[in-house]
Amino acid sequence: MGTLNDSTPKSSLVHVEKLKKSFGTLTVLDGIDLDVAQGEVLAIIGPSGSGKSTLLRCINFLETPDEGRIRLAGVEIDAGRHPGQRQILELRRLAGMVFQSFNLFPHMTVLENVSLAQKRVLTRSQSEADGRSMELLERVGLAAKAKEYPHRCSGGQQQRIAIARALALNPKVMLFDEPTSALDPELGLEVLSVMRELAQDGMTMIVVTHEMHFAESVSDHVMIMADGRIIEYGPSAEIMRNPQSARAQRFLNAVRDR
Amino acid sequence: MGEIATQVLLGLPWTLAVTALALLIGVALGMPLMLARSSRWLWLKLLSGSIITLVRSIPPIVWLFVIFFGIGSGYFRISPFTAAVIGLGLISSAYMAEIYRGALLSIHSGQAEGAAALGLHPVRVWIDVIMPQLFRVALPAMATFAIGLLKDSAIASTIGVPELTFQANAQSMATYRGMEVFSFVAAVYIVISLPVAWLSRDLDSRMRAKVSR
Repeated sequence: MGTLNDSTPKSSLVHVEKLKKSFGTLTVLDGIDLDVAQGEVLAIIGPSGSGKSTLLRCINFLETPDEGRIRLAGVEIDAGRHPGQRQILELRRLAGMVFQSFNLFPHMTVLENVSLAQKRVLTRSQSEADGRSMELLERVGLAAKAKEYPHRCSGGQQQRIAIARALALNPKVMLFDEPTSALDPELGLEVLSVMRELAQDGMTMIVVTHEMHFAESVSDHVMIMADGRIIEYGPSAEIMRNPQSARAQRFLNAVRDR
Repeated sequence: MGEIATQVLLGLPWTLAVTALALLIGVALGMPLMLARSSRWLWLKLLSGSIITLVRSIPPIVWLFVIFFGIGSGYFRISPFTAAVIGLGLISSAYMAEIYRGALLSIHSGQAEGAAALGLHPVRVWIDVIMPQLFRVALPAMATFAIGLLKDSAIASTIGVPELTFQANAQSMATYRGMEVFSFVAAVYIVISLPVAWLSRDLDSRMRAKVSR
């Protein structure tokens, strides 16, 4: 993988090394190396089944990798050595995650959704947590929905709440797993604009996406995956306009023709 | 008739106590039993699976006899009341485990993942996120089971627990007015079942209004 001078392993916030993952006989990740610098936005694109979601889910151990090393801020985990629960929880605390299906808790109000982990993980008091939650809901433009239950909100609003919930732990990096795929284009836009603001505020982000415009205009780097491997990586404009491999060209042509 | 009713109603506290205690045991023990059943360790799965199947395939009355006449007379003395509570509690546990399991299957896997991604400890994921949703889904089935259990508690009369049916039986033999006695006790069962059904329906609709899925 072509390393760039601004993302050498030493300065990187997220460092992934030789990551491997199989489901049965199917190899989903075939030795992935990845570095994301502080403040960088990386978009991961590629055809379905290429392993991009699995890669993201391995970074916070929602999926346990078979082999490889993950370092995030100060926490380093060697997947081959059966990492302990404490290490995994520490890693997850540093990584906020946003899912395709939002995964808000339906039995809690919007405010309770955002406050829960602050109370349980950061042991903030109720009022402290709620104060911070209101700030974050304000930031995603949904303070007015604080007392509502998630099902009273549109898909786009739910996803913005999910972003606020993930931000509540002051993560070092935000992981987005196809955050707009379950939304119609218009609602997707409001989520993308929140993500764009986050990026402008200097948040480090790894975004698995099918939004080519977002990949090109917001992200610093783009990675294209196919069959569990990285087939192309580099500055977004370069990769999107001038991919080197035939496989990447084919993929980009296919998504552009739509 | 007033005399008969008074006598029969002496059994009411016993019926309520047997039902409530057996239900409590079921609600509590059903949870670990279900967890074991959905565990990733095969031996635990098989063990809990066979307990559930065994308990459910033997008629409740046979269970009570095994506990009261079998264990109770052979090894140590237990009162008819204790035997009934243990027997019905055991049966409740097996049924509750199955009710919980069905409810768990209805909860989207993204719920546990969403909570885990926030760095919550697995125990907290369970307590804060899974359990409240699980009970919500399980509630109607639990209420149906509770009403069934209330009626099944009548078999405790066969080992001599002085509950409603036991009292009715005694009155019927003493007065030869079986039709009246048993009609009365039937009405009592209806009267105590209805509030349980209403309460559950009310709770269910209130929770649904707040949190539809």
